[in-house]
This record gives sequence, structure tokens and C-alpha cells, in this order.
Amino acid sequence: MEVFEHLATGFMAAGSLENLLFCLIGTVLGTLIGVLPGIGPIPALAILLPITFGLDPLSSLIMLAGIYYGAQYGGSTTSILVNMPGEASSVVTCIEGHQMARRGRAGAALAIAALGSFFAGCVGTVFIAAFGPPLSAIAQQFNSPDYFALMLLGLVMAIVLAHGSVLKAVAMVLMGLLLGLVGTDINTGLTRYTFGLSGLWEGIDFLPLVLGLFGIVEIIRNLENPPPPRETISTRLRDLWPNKQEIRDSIPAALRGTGLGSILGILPGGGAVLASFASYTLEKKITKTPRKFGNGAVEGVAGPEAANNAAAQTSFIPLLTLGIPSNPIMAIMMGAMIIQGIQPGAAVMTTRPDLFWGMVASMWIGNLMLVIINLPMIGIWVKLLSVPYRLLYPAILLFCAIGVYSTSTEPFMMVLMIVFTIFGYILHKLGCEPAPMVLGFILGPLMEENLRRSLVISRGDPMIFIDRPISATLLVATLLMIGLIVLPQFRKTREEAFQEE
Amino acid sequence: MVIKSPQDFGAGILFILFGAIGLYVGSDLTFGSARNMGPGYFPMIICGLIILIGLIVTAKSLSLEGPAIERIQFRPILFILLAIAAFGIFIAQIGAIISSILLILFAAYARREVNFVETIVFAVCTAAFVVIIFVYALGQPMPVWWGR
Amino acid sequence: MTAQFPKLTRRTFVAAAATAAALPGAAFAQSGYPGDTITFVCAFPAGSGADVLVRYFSEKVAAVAKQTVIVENKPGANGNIAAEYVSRAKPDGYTVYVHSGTSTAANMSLFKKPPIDVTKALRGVQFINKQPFMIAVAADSPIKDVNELTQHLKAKGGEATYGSTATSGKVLAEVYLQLAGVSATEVAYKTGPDSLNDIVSGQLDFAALDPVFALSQQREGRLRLLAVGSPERMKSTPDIPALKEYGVNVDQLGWWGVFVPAKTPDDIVMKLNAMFQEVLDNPETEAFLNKFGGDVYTGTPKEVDELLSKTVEEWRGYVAQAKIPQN
Repeated sequence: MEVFEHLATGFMAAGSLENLLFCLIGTVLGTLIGVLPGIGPIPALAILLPITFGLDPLSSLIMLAGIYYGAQYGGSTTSILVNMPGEASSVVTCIEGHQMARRGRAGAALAIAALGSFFAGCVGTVFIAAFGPPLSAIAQQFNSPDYFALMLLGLVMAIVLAHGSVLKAVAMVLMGLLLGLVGTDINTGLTRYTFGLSGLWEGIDFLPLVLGLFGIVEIIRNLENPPPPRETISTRLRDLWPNKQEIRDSIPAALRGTGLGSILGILPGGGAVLASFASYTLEKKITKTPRKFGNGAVEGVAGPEAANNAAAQTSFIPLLTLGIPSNPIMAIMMGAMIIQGIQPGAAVMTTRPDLFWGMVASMWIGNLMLVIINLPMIGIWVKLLSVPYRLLYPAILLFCAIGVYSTSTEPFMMVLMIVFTIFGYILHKLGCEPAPMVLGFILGPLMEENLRRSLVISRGDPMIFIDRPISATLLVATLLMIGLIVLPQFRKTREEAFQEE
Repeated sequence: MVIKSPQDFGAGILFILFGAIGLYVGSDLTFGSARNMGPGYFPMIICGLIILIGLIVTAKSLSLEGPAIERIQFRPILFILLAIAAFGIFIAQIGAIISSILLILFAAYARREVNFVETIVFAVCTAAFVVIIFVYALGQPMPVWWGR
Repeated sequence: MTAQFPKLTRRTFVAAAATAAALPGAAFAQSGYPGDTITFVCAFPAGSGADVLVRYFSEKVAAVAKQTVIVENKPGANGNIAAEYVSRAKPDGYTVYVHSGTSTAANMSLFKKPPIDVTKALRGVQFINKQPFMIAVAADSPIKDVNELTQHLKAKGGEATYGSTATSGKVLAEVYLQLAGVSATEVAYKTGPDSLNDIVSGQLDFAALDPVFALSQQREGRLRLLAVGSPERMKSTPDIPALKEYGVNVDQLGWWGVFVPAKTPDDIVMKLNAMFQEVLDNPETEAFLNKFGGDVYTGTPKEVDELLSKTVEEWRGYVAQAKIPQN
């Protein structure tokens, strides 16, 4: 079969000793930088990009891919251990993963994250090799109205991220949307909600927002109510490893997550960011034990982690076949390819097959190395939790501050982080969960842009959303989703009403 | 008027305030029409929805029982914020070492019982680690010591 | 595969690269400058497309200067924050602003109260490149050249739409529409990739795009490029006509440059100018910049200052002409 021929070419190119070495260095460096709280894949890639400049193109891309996967896994590690997400998708990992860690199952959560990611990575690699070009043709059918419908579906899913009141979750999504609109309106070039601060002209920066809302509020919570002293953390292999039940629960979740992530990743307009959120929503909706969600449900780690990694893989498809970077990370990759003298696009496949397939193969190799180096390290990561909290939290705080400082040296970024810490603290006291707000914040601008564009193109006719088959399908899915969310609510209030009688 | 669910009551008021500020600050943005939406169209609708939900949540909090608001402790949040502020203000002037030490000292005092000697030793070690990794190994733009 | 092995330490790596390349940097070593780490200020966040360009030059200049060059990201306010920061830095040649000269100049008219007068607070050192925005249609569109596009828009009588990225795209399209005496409604996109599907599916009648994106998609066979906004054809794309050839008198050239605080002494400016010149003369740089959709462009510090002043004036006209609201 052609696919295997291609993959063989790739493994020949990527499997040379030097390239394996660069892949290893990349994954190790990526993990080490990514595991620092507050430094997610984007700053990690930007920081480490220059060390790949001196290499030949394939080695440099292999190393970068290694850094990327490493940083992503490192980010999941900090999300699970200290509730400190460095990027949008780890916000989901925090929800269940950190709860698992609080129950003493940090090792299991880390192992499942690693294995789930690896599985998704394997599938993703085959997926790219087999269906890359035809899939990118489908992704090209997505126009503005379709993206609007996709974002709407994403926002409805965001509501499921919270565990408490649906109404409050909806309000949180809406507040996120509004926060996302701060900055310059691209249609008119006018600024909105900037309060005259030039630091807000290009919008609220993601990193201080997410670190304030999640990581720093978590520190304050722990200081206010010190968690009961943990039993001495056992680092025996048996206790670090997921137990049978956990494995049984996570396999189907990882499978579903891989499927969802692979499909969302190929959409070139920010589909990848939805992957982990979509997977979490799915798991929470189909689970037989909904009470476990919010208290460390292993499916809520396995599914999103797999989805995220699968999407990370398949988001290379629009870059490699269309020359379109679908997210900021792919934009860095594209920049790195240009520096190496390669213009990403379908032409690479024919002019430099060794490079194209070598890179695809290296993704799999990178994922494999990640598992090999990280599974033994889980013991070390978990041991970090036995560092007394009085020393751990100031260090975490310092890395947060430095992470923010290395993406922008403006003192205003610290101000933003302080503001969002206070805001997150108030939300916490009022029982509002911030995860839906983060998704609203990310999707808000995309949703507004696509809505406005669609209506300019259709000259104000809303039928454009129904006439196009893709957007019509997505809108029907949105309605179904709303039904799924609202119906149990009605049932619950009726039950409560009966109980009161 | 009896507030049965203080948490929800607070959340409802927060939503109303947030939406109202949004409406007020955005009031000078052009609304436009569906065919040619102005910069104010989308935000105004969102603010309206937030206020609406705020009203419902507030109303429900008067009739349905719910959890109380946990007591606010000022010491942790105050010192944590001070620590971040100190870092942000000072790093460009006095460099990564001293501002890292300052951050850790402030952060440590977010707890009541502080072992000063231990904290100082820890702060110095962490600051050294930060400088070695970020400034020397990764070439990040931070002054190490008093400006350049 | 080269023999050097990239160590984590960037200084040793840079030093190794410099030695290996054996670039004639010795001339600078005798006098004082550059005797310390140089900072390149980038007005885009770490990891964005333009950040890559600045980082490319930071590595290359480091090799020539035999000094560490670090990139400091000061994103925000369309570059105003970075420009203001550089203008207030010590004028010692260790704080260098590598940014779009067009954007720096345009900010003088895009904002009601620009924080600094860029022509007085900054001093030009060297150019980087010239890159024009481009007029594009879908590759399978029946429209073959600018005249046909004008006819097509006339026939649509104001019902047409066009896509634009960045203010430069909007200005190019609006100036063209006015000079050609036709009209179309703008649909704004944040980046070129966002607009691709709407252009290719024929939802938009045409688009005014940045060259990096436009050229890559032309190569991929999805776009047809009708014209460049520069007064003449570009060296790197000799087959794309200039708008002027169709009687549409547009002279809109985007350019990147290198700037330092206004009070930086002449000898340091000249040294920096020479260092950048050396990097820009390198064929590797030319290939790199061509991929970014532009021709290499070099000159004297005085020429940079003059072009900056000229661009500021031009943009005053554009902003009025394209009716762009000021902030």
C-alpha cells in the first residue's frame, strides 16, 4: 500500500541516529520547559526555537516537533499536579486531573495522560499519512457561516464544563465572550472596552488571564483552607500506576477522544482548540456515573488528553497540505519551516517527500520517546508534591511571573494577572467555575468575526446559515446539544419539587 | 426580603454589574444593523443576556436554599498579589535576582508561621536557579542585576 | 548535518556558529561597540510570524557582531508600545527596534494622539525589505486582470465584497476602488489564512492580501494574483504587474526597517548599519526574505529617515482617503 511506502520513506529519514537524537533532545527540553508552571507550549517553542536554527531542515523540524509534544505533555503535568494550565486545552485537564491528584491519584492521572496521548499520537500519525490530502479538501469547504455555527456549538459545549448551575455557566460563557471582545475591532479598526489603556488595544492576553483565574486562585484557596495533610505519598510502582478499573474506564474515552480530536484538528480556523473541550463534554454526557465528574473522573483526563494530542497531530494537515497555520503553534512551525527555506504547502510532499514523510514519522517517534522518558519520570513528578507546600507555592508563583514576563516584558501584564486573580477569587467565593469563561474568551472573537462576515457576504440575510449544508448540520447539532443540557435540568427540578412536597 | 442562597445572590449581582458596566462602557459604540453590524452590536446583545441571567439568578436566590459565601481571608490574597506586583514593578530596574527573592519573601508571608531563615535560603537558591535557566541557558530578556 | 552540536547554552552556540561561519566580524571587535548583549525589540508576541523574522535577524546579527542578541517582545497597541519603549531607551545602540516602517509611520495617523512622533523620537539605521500588498482572486475565477476586475465590479454595481487583512490591505483596496470609480463592501479578516476559504469559494469578489500569504497560496494554485500595490513590479515576483500599469495610480509599498533611539551617536548607527548590511547581503537572507514575500532592501541611515517621513505623510492621505476611523 502507498501509505506504508510513504511511512517507510519517512521512518528511513527520521530514523537516522542523529535525527533520533535531536528528537530526544527536543522532547526532553520541551518537557523540562513545559513542566515549569505558567510556561505552556507556545512560550516554550518560542524560547527554544533559536537552538534549532543551526540544524538541517529535517533535523530542525523533528526537534521542534519534539519540543512541541514535550512542552504539551509538560503542560499537562503541571495542570494535573498544581492546577496551572499553560494553554487553553490544559484548562480541561485541570478539571479532572487535578482532582485526581488531590485524591492521591496523581501518578495514575499522569500515566493515563501519557498513554492516552501516545495512543492518540499513533492514530493521528496514520491518519495524516492515509487521509491528509483528501481531508484537507473537506476542511477547505468551511466558510464563514460554517465557522460561526461551529463556534456556537463549541460555546454550548462550554456550558457542560461546569458542574453546578447551568444558568451560572451560561453567564460565565457570556462574560468570557465579552472579555474576548476587548481590544481592536477588526472590522472598523476601532478599539472597544480598553478603558483608554494602550495595553488592552490588542485584547486581553491569554496567559495572565488563565494563570490568574486558575493557578494563582488555586494557591490562595490552598492557603485559606490548607488541604488535610496528605498521607505520605507512596512512590511504589503499584500506586503510581492506574488500577484496572481506571484503565478499563479510560480506554473507550481515549478512543472517542482520538476520533473527535483527529476530525477537529484538520479544520483550519481554530477547530483544534475545541478538541479537548468537546471530548470532555462528550464523556460527561455519556457517562453512567455523572457524579464522578468534577471529583476526578479518569475519563475526563483520558478523553481530553487523547483528543488534544490527536488534534495537535492532525492540525499539521492544513499546514503541510494547504500551507495554512491553524493555530499559533502551527504559525511558529510555519515560521521555522520558512527559516529553513521550505515553503509549507502541498508542494513539499512532491518536492521533498523525505522531509514531509520524515516529519510525519517523527511525530510518532516523538510521541514514543515522550512515553518512554515520561513514564519513569512520573515518580519524580509525584514526589514534587511531597515538597512542603510552604516552599512549593512561592516557587510556582515565581515561575508564573517569569512565564508571563518572557512572552511580554510589559509591566502591564502583571497588572492583568493581578486583576484576574482578584476576579477569579470573587468568582470562586460565589461558586462560579471559570472553565466555561475561558472557552468563551477564546471563541468570542472568532464567533463575532464570522457572524459579521457571514452577514456582510449574505447582505444581512440570516438564511445563509441554513442554506449551507455544513452550517445547517452544525446548527442542528447545537440544538440537540441544548436539548441534552436542558432536559436533565427540568427532570432535576421536578425531582427536587417532589422531594420538597 | 430574605436571601436564601447567598452565593447565588452574590453571583447574580456580579452578573448584573458586569453586564451593566459592559452596556455603559460600550454605549458609545455604533450598534449598526444585522446587514452591517457595528462594533457595538454583538457586545450589547451579550451584555443584555448577562443582565437577564443575573436577574434570574438573583431572583432564584431569594426563593431556593443554597450555600453560604465562605469567609474571606485577607492575608493570603493580599500577600500573593503584593508578591506579583513587586516582581512586576522591580524586575526591569533591579534585575531578576532581587525581584525573584522579593516575590518569594512576600509570597511566604501569605502564611502566618514563617521560618525566616529557611525562606531566605530557599529564595536565594530559587533565584539562582531562575537566572541560570532563564537568563543564561535560554537567553530571556531580563536583567540579572541592577539594570543591565 | 553540520558538525556542531547545539548546546543548551545559547552563548556558546552563537559563538560556535560565528566561528564556524568565519564571518568577517573582526572589524567591530576593536572599538567599544558592540561590547555587550544587544536587545532587539519586537512589537509582536513571542512566536508570532513576524517574531520569527526578528529572531532570524537576531541570530544572524549575533554572528556578525560576535555578541549575544536577545529578542524582547513588547507587543501591544499596534506597535506603539514597542516604539515608545525604544524611543525612551538609552541611546547606546544596545536597544534596537526591528519592525515594519510602514506600520510605525501609519500609527502617526491611525491614532488621534500617537504617543511619540516617530520621525523625531526614532532614528533609522537600515532597511530590511520592501513588500507590497497584493490584489488577488480565486484561481478559477474568470477574472484575469485588473481591467476585468474593474469591469466585474462595475457590473455588480456596489453589491460586490472584498476581503482584506490588516490596515494596509484595506488602504490598498479602498484607494484602488476610488481611483477606478467602483465600489465594494469590505469584509475584514484578522489573517490571510482566515480569508482563504471565502475567497476560493467565490463568496468574495476579490481580496487585498499580505504578500507572504498571497504568494504561498498562488504557488499552491488556489489564488490568482492580479497586481501588486508597489509602483513597480517586484524583483522577486516579476510576473505580477503593478497596479500602475493599469492606469491606477497607486504607490503603496510596505517596508521593514531597523530603528534606534533618536539620540544614538552616528558611529554606532553606522556600525549597526554595516552589520545589518552584511546580513542582508547574504544570499541566505535574500532567500528567506523572498519567502516572506519581499525584496531585500538596503540603504543609508539617512535614507531610512527620509522614507519614514515620506511614509508618515503618505499615510495621512490614505487614512483620509480610505475613511479609516482614528483611535
